[in-house]
Amino acid sequence: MENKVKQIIHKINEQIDIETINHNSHLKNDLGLDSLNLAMLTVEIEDEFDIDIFENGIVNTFGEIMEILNTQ
Amino acid sequence: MIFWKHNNKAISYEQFLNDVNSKVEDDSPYGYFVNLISSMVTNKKFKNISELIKYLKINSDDITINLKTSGTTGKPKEINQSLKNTIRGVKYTEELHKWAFAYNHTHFAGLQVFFQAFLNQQEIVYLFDTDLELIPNVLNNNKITHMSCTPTFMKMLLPYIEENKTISNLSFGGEKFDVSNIEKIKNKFPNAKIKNIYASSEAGSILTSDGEYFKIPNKFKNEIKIVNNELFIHKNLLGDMIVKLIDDVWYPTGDLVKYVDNNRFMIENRKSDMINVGGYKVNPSKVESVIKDIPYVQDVLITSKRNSVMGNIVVAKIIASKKLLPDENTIREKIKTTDKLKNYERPLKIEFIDSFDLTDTGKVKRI
Repeated sequence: MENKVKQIIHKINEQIDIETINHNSHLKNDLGLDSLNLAMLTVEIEDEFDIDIFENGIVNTFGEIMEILNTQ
Repeated sequence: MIFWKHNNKAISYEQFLNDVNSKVEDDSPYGYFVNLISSMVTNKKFKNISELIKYLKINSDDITINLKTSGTTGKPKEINQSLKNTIRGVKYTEELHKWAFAYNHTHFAGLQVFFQAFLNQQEIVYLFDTDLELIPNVLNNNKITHMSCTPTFMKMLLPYIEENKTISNLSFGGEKFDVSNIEKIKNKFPNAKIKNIYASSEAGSILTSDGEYFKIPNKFKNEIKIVNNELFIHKNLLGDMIVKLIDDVWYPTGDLVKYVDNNRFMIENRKSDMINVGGYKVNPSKVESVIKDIPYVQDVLITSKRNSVMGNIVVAKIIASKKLLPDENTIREKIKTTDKLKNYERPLKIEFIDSFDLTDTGKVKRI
């Protein structure tokens, strides 16, 4: 699941190296995703896992995404 | 007296007046307002800012503002709105408010904030392009008292706000207010009175609400009416423009409302097909025409999908040319390389389909 999410992030911004993404990676500050990128991230993750990760507020890090996906 | 602050640079009202008098060319948001005021006063020169403001107020009936809007009927249009109509919602006060400017400056809502602050000689801190993380400090350090923004802007900002006690008035405009956030907003801005504003480029600011519900104000009870849940505005409240009127007097706004009791109602959605992406209006027809020009595309339908980050996103349903295999990345790349679509106009979701669903009357279903 983790690899799939990393691939989605890479698809949104190809300049992001999958190897560098870890649980502490900040989506905006470290990975450079803007609000439209984040909107696309929700769409892609929802398509793949049927979960809206931003439903209950803003998610900041890669680890927080995995936490939401793992608890569902 | 400070008029405008942006990225640690402060410009006084005196400097603004000098720039208006000498018509300084400048592409920045500040320059936009210099040009706007210059165009209103043509070649007149003013000794001080109070004299300029007095002139604008006295002549507001005769001064015309040329506004370019994204258009509620689908086509971009130019509106000649009298200054009087544009500033109808301005409240005059002696109090020294400090405004956070959180709209795109060319948006009608941005214009409203500008005039509210400017005509009262209040300070404006421009933070529309400021990094969200830095905004809490900008609000505190500048002791901002008033802020108006789109609900989407607030939603994006909210996680970065711990608690703001300086803001006493918080208003929302530009798109439908998401009620689910109101408790969070109240907690993070404990001293703020929260208002929702209904304004259109055609009529200016005409309705305000406490929280989510609107009421037709007594002063407009003969000029605003609701028929079959649609909001209609009397031509007396409209700018000098050509619109299709019903019975020669009523302008159908395309906004649908839902009554919660005899007097109060909420704005539900628009009748038109315009897609609201984070406060920006996207015209599906424009996006369709750009994507149709891509070689792999035989036909395309642009629709919207609810999104927890942007409110809505643009979705493209594409029928690909039979000669080539549909490939999402290729289409995305082609869209990116055309300079005809702004970031928010680009489809974030691309689906390939064999044919479009049709309605009973044979029209393409947009939902």
